[in-house]
Amino acid sequence: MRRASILLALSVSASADAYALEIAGDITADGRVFLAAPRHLGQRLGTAPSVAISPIAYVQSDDLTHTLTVQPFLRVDAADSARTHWDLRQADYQYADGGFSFGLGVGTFTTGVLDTHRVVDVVNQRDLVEDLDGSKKLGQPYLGLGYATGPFAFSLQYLPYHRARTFPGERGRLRFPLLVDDEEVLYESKLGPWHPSFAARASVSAGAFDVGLSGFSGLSREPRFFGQIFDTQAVVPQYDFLQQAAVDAQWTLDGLIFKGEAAARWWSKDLRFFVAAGGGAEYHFYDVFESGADIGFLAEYHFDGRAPDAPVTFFDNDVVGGVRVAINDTGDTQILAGVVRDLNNQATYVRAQAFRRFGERWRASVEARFFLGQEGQLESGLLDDDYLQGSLAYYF
Amino acid sequence: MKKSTMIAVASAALLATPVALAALDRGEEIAKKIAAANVGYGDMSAHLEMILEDAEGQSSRRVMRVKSLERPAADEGDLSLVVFESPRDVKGMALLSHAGVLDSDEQWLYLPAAKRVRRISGGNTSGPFVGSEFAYEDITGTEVAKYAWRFVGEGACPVGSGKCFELESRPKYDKSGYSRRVVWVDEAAYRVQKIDFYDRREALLKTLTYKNYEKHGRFWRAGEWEMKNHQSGKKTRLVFSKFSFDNGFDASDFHRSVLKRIR
Repeated sequence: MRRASILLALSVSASADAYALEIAGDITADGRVFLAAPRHLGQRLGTAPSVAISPIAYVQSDDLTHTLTVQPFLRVDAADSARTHWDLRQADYQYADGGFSFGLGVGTFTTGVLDTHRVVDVVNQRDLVEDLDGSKKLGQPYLGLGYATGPFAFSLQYLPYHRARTFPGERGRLRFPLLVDDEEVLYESKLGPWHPSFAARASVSAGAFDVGLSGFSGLSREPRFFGQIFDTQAVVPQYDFLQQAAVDAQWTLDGLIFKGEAAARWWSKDLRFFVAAGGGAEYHFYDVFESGADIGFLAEYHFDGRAPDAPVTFFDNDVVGGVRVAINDTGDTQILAGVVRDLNNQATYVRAQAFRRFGERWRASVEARFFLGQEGQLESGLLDDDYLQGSLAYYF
Repeated sequence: MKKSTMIAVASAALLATPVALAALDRGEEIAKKIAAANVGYGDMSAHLEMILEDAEGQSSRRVMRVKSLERPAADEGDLSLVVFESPRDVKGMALLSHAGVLDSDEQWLYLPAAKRVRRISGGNTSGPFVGSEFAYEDITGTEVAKYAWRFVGEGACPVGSGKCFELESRPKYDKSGYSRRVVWVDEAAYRVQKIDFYDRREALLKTLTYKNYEKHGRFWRAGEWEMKNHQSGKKTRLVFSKFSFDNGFDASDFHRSVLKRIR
């Protein structure tokens, strides 16, 4: 079977450079300004610069049958040594032929349909020190098999090693009063981080409907915390067993989208049961007043029925509202703003961002995050951590 | 990034839609011949450079790889994949479209930064495609049945040489940014030469000119499309190169699961 060269941009003839090495990625400088003095013992002001580099190097055959990818990540942070960290986001070989696929190495995987919190998305550990919102993930060692045909896609993953979550250090902002011990990690399994996990997913796309069924068995990526006898300022994370069966669905209409996710979870060796679910809607106005700009509105609700001694979650009974404005200019200027409000304790998280590209290789962004609420709640550890951030990224 | 069957851009796929009509205007007959001239292309891939110029002559550039697969069934549109190479912050961003003819397109967007495949909705017709002077409907709205056609006349082609038919087409779908389009197509090979776009207030808004036609097998492809906005003074040029046909693509090359492998 003859296939076309996907590396058309570089190739004169498909076979001549079918295995050319490509390098891309970005280097980003951030500056953060915290608006209030720190509240926790040991914290520094944290108003400081930070630099991150995220290159991606890959070799791909012209027909996409063979793909070798290496994507490291490194951040150097002047304010918090725990935020100075590196990771392999991806380092894997992928094989694909027809609808069949195979992958081996380290990868980052994202499933689910909601924007602010996805209960089905449990394969990768979160790089929490990189971003409090959990949007950044640590690379996950995996062996995967996939099959796609017609409207269906199936995948199976064997996940031999568990990555522990990253947390801010003693001097860092955006943390809770008690430090998370980064040297000690507890596991419910005797095998520790080597206790294997398995993930399976089947999805179908039929017309306006996309539905996915997924299962997970192994170690939870969410920790719970235990106090220490000798160090009253620090806690130790423990990762328990987790079994999960989940469904996600999306109904996509012209400009209007409905989304939902639900997970049944059995956590710890005692298989303690709870349900976590979320739903939302998105609506887009295109070409507003013939300006070319788009405005999108987002609403989501998250519920989580876990017991108080289970790993903590912010999204126990929360509503989300958001707006996105895309100017559709040559710089792809975008403005995003969103609010997450906990209906149980009225803790509120406000975030606003704006992006713009300059030329072909530069991108600037500004961002503000605010934490509102009362004392004595899970979220109140962040009450003094309102901050502004400016970033400049160069893409190579 | 909605409704951007850029492959339709690439292939100038004026898809034939067999609709039984009692009495055809001569304009509709010609429109069907334009579409018929592209039936049977099979699959194609190409390299696309988009050059955006503002009224002051400042320009920016986008580079994309495009490929498409023809679906012969009358009720299915083509499958297409657009992968961005530049600007570099969107490198590896990919848009997969399963075009509908009567139904709206099914589209998935892959965002490499989040390594996430998102199903996205159509519905954006008159908005600009990636900041250019091309609206989504300029790229996708090429099916004959989407317009009411009227034969205007014939004469010398407004660009190039030879004789052209002049047709008027009024969009039959909702949310179009246009009241009508005036299309010139050459009589020799049914190649679209020029389109004038009139806004909803009937004022001339844009002119699209097709240049550098070349024959690939039995199919003609314009090497350059130039869209000039008369009201803003802005201009967008699409420059195609490395057209390749008969690549042996099949539906598995256009499944949403391939997006994760796009680089």
